[in-house]
Amino acid sequence: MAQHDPLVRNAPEPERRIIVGVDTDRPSREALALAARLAAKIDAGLSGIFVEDENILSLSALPFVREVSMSGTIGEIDNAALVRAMQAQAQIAKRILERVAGEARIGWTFRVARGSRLKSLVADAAQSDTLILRGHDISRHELGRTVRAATRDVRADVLLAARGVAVSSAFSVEPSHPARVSKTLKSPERLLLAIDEGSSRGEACVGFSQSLASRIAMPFRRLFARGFSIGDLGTAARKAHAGLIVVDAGALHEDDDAARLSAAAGCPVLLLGTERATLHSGVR
Amino acid sequence: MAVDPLSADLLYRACDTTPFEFETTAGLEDLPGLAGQERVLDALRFGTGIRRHGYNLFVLGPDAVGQHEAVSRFLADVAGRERAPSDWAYVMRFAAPHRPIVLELGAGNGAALKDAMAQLVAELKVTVPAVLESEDYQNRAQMIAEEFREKQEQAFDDLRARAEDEGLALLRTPSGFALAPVAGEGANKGEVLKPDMFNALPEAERKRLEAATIALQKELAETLERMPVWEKDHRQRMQTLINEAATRLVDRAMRDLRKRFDTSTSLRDWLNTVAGDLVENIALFAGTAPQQQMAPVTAGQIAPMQFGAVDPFRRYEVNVIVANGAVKQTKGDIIGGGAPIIYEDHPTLQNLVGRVEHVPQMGALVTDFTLIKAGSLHRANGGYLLIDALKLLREPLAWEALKRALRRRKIVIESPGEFMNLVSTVTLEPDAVPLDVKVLLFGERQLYYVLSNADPEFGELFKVAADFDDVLDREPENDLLYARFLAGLCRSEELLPLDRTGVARVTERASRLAEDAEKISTAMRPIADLLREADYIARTKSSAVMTAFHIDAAVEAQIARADRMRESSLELITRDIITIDTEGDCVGQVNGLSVLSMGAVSFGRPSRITARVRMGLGSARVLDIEREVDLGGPIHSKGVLILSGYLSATFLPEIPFSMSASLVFEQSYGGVDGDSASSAELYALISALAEVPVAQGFAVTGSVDQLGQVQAIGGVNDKIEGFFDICMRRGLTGEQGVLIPAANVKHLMLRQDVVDAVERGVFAIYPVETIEEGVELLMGVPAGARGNDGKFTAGSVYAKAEARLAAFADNQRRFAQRVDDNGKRK
Repeated sequence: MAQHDPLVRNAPEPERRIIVGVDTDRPSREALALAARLAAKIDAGLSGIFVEDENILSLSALPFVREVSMSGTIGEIDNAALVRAMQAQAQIAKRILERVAGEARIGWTFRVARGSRLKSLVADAAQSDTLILRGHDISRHELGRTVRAATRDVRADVLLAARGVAVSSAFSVEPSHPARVSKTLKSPERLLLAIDEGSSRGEACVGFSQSLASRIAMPFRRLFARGFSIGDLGTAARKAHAGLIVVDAGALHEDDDAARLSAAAGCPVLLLGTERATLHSGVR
Repeated sequence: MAVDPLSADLLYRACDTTPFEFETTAGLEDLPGLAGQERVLDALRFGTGIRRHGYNLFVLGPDAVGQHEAVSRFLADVAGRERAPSDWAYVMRFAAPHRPIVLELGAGNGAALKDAMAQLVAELKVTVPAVLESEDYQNRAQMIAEEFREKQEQAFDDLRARAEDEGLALLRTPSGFALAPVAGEGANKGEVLKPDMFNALPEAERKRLEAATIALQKELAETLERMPVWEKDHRQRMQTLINEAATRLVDRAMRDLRKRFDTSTSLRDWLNTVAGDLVENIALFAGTAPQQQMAPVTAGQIAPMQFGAVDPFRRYEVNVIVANGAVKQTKGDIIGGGAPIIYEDHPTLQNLVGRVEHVPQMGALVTDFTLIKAGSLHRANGGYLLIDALKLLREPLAWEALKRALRRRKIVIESPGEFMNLVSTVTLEPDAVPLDVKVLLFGERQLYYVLSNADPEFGELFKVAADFDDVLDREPENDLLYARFLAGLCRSEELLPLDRTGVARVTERASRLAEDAEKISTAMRPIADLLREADYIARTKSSAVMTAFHIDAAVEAQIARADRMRESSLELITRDIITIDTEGDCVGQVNGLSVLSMGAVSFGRPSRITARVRMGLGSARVLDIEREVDLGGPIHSKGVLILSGYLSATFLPEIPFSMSASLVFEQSYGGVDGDSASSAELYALISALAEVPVAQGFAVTGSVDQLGQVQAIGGVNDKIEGFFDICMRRGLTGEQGVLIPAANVKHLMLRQDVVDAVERGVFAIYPVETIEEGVELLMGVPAGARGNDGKFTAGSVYAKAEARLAAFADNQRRFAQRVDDNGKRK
């Protein structure tokens, strides 16, 4: 496999892609699972990117920088070992992607990129794509900057799940054990909440959201948001038992608004990078 | 001294039917268990009544007297009034699965506990998933998980924030974390500084960044070191949450069960451990537990648990090995109503003490507590265990195992392989079961005496002997009791009833079996066989009752079926292949009588005994040829020595004896034992010595003592009939008969044809008390008595004998006085 930009294909690339950073840690796996569910719902393909972080590869150049292992041991950094470890991680990540996509019966691609983790994802995205971002060890501002770059510069959509948000309940899932579920207390259904800030883009966002809710079989609700703070919106969404919030990216002003909204609402937020009424007529 | 022949009425004692007031045995009540066996009854009452260690019973008696049936009837009455003993069950000891726990439960409660445990498991399979998947539980679990995650993330956020403040970034590496200075502005904002950029910084800034990096690295390391503690705390909280939910569920599910089975400490303790184990393994019921969670990893536990791992719920099963609630009165091996009465027909070690079965699994033999099987000691616990002693002794290790169980008063399951270190399969060590049982061993008297002498523990463990009489006195009241016994037998065997003549004939037959006209044999088996066969004959003749005719026909049929050997023997004699003279006279030859037994058949057969006499070397030596060739048994040899003593004391008591004689059973090719021919041998010797011929129309039986008294022998009827049959085949001459000891007259129960012949005067039976009487009968000349002159009556047999002996002695002296030319004796 080539060191850089190794594209692996096993199916014709669909028109719309769900781009997700793949890795072996838990947040990455959760993000991948979320991406696969969304891709399955909207008939998109899955594009997994494993990023060899250049920041990490340049650590050894600074002699006083040390690696602290998970057990708390401080040791010198061996660049060659780091590269080998990353390549191994990439292979594992690819297998995870293959398995998840296979279970969801969706097409998938995988490639390895070297650079900044978030910038590499944005760089790969196109206007028709949806980028999956999972806030974990990334600051809200950095996450916000990435969202801004993806939605405003590339005009792609971003599905963001802030740190602490349980992504497993983002979309309705068919029960794996119907008999057992029938015996349990049934949870209230989570709904898709579309935020209408009162603009034409907000109106377009609501229209798109209705189509999406129908497509992914979630109850739909519109939330008028003029004059509301991000905190108020998050509280309202949590009360409404939202499983997914859809908002026009232009309606958010600060870098960290998207992450705050997701954290406050306790569910992922889908930020639309383009005005769907003019660019997309519903979900394709 | 002449002896008169016996009259016909002394040859067969017919049963007097006058006291019989019944028409048939259908009108008679059954005989209560052990009538006529008062000694046995007392022993059984004592043995079953005394509840002390070691007071087990040994029931002695011939196999055929029906001790099993009689004792079982007695015990059924006793046990039926006793309380049903406990049920016993094996359950899992969760802390040590290879050592199952035994539980004592009230009679009938074993099955109830088994059902209750099965219901408990079924209930938990439904309720546990419902609770563990409920939103309430999931929310609480999620909350704990979130708190843990937030705690972790907060620690990293704090560190990350401080790092940002210092111009550093916290980075995730493939195997950990690293802190590095990053660009604070420009196009590379947030990216790790390259060395040239770092070196371009002012020295103070470089030192500050380096120091901050090192300090935060240390903090990061400390934070990461705390992670396992947080993780442990998180797991404990999750476990606590599960335990709380599980405890509530299990307590609720087990509430009724605990109340219902709160009967003993051991049961209560086990139910507590069940509750604990259910809580610990509650994930099983949620369907999320991995199999290995159920399999202990210690070597001693692997094999027993592998089987259980297939079905993890087996650990909560109850293996009821003894269920006394189900004991009912049956005709099979379990009889009795209260206390169990078990007859162990195949007393192997494992059939007695139980066994642990194994099943093959993945090429290995595995087991668990559900494969423990009860032995007869378990099933008889609290009641009575009946075993045939001989069968027990024939089984390897069984006798020792029974004694060990009785001595220790507990049942320990041991496998023969384990006992002899033959197998290495991991097996179980089940708890021992406390033992309170009465063991009744059945065996022949000889076996009882052998065990008493050879095994010191036998006397300690079997203190009560119940000795069955094999005969009853033949008295009118006993005849009636015997009739009731026959009535019961007919009913239990579903046979036609006997009329009075039938009862009389069976009684007479029983008397013949006892070999005594004054006794009745208590042997049940041959009488039962006779009745079954008579019943068959009666039914073929459409008779509603069995009469004397049917009994006689059955006896004749029995004899005819087993008669080939007797016929063959008779034929050999009548064709003169085996020489037996039944007419004429012969010196030194007497017809002796013996009994041949072949299986269940025995018959009498005459043997020609001959004696030869010549001068001896100064002593009386009787050469027993049978003994010389090792065909004579010790009793026979003893008889020959006794008759030598008689001769020595009777003839020439004052001078040394000089006689050499030889005795032989002619044409006898098998062993000879017993002393019943000793009188015949003596007659032959005297005849040879006196040179007086013996009438060959006679046969003789009877042993003799040194004083010449003729003594009783066994098998007198068979012997007489054996000789009678030969004479009959050749034609009765009226000169034929048998000399029997007078003491045997009371034993005569002869065949009707013999009785008839005697009655007609064509055959005779002489009761003889002394040798002298026999000599006169056989030789037709008085034996003679020593007169005042010290000499026997002139012309008598003994006078001739003594004269010959005197001649032998004289000759011997003359030989002794011959000297050679040198003056030495030759």
